Amino acid sequence: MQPGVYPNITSKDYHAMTDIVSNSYLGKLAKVPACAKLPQKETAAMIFGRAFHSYVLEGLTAWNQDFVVALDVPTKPNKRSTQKTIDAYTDWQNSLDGKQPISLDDFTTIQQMKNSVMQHPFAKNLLSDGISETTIIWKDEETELLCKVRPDRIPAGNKGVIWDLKSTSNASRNAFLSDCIKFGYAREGAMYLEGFSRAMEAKYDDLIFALVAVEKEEPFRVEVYTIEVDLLEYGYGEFHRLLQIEKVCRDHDFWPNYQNSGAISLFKPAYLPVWEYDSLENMEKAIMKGKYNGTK
Amino acid sequence: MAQNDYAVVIYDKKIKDRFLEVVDEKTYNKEIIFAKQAFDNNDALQKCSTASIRNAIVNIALTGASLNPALQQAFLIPRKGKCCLDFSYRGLCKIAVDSEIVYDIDATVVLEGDLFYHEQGLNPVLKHVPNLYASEKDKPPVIAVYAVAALHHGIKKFVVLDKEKIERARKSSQMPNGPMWKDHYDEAAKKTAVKLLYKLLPQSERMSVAVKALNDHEGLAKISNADKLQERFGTEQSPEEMVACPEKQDAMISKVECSSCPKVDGCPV
Repeated sequence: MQPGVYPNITSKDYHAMTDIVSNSYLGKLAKVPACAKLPQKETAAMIFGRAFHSYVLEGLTAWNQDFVVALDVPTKPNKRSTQKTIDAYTDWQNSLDGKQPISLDDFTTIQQMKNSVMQHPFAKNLLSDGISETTIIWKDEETELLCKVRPDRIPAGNKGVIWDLKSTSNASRNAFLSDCIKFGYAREGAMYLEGFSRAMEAKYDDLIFALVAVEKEEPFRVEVYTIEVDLLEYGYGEFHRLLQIEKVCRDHDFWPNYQNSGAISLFKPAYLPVWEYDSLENMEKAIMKGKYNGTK
Repeated sequence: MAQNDYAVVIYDKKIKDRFLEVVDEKTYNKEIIFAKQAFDNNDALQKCSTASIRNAIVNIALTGASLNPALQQAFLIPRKGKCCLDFSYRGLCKIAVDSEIVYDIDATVVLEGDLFYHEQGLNPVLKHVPNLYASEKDKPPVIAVYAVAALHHGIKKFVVLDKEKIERARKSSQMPNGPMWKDHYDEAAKKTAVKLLYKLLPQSERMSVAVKALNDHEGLAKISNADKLQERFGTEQSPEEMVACPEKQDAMISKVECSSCPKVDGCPV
């Protein structure tokens, strides 16, 4: 695959390009290199997120092509299930036509989340015209590795803005900031802006990475956040550090399941107390006083 | 803020007390009248936040500039719901001289076709021979601006900004296409040069207050990405798009509601 902008690559094809470095790949690499080589298991939260993205960004018609609302789901067979149960489940799976089933409850939640985004005075403006899920591929000059990103939306009108939609359990500022660190949104932002600036020949410093955070529970709180320069710099540093690690792993064709080949010191964190003998003595006195009521 | 409430803020005793710590009562009375006149003639100013009005008026006392429209040193300007104290290039020069950090300070624009030469280093040199032009219509474009300050011991300091640097300052200002840069480009460029020159001069509290007040609302100070995003997309609510719904006897429903309808696929709308 050559560097460039590919608006028509499907999500499935995008994820199939495993030799190109993506943010989610770097997220696994950040834990320990061996982790990056494990196959990606799709969790229920990831399926929900995918369905939510598709519904908000592409609309119901596009959603219906990949997802289906599952109303009467038969019991999932186990080792002791009868043939009838197994057949019923197989028939139901075949009837899905390769589409991902979404429970009615989840679909209702997704609809309410979208309504909530559309009612937000500012998020609504961001959601107007633009290109959704365009694949951008570029070559990192330092490591010569190909990198890829697939931003949720690049608004029309050459505004120099890229934004991503995030479903979250808590959209408050502090909780979402911790999500940014935990899930690598800062690194993702730095990657998006670098990819975008190279593909569109835009100035990196003029670009803005925004996140629309939507809570998954009522009242479906919506907040719009921007990753500011210092956090972006942190993400940029992390992105390039991980690229270097990937380069070394690829050069030696070895992805170790450790980060450090020697021993690492563990020190007492500041929040732990220092045990004092005084307190033990006091405690002993208290126990004696309580048990023998001063008689011993 | 309700109409005429701004008068209550302007005549606030706290503002008077702050004024009188720095200037005499005569100057206070004079500046408050100029401030009141500025508010009376500007509806947008009247709607500014109380805190910003208070800050702007107190800054007049702290800098020693005057709101007297004839002197054109400082102005009260509404920006994004805040009252900002803005200084002209002339006002900045006056503050610098009054605060006794310089003997004289001036800025000049260099036009295309002028003879201009400057050297930095141990023996800085600045030479500018302007080329005369017949009328304002024939005026060549600005290619640079410089500010020169004469310090009390005779040493002169100067900064030169080429067109690119002026443009960078313009773009980083909150209103890059506002009336100041559009209609008074020379003055705005000179002000930028004086502000930059101030960094090289002995610091004074008065001048610092003035430069900070300018940077707070005019650029050079960093604008957050959140502010930039809001500027690029606007915070105004776009009117909700409505469509006629055949399911509800052609009653108008919002496009959001329409896109969530399970029958949207076969819908004639």
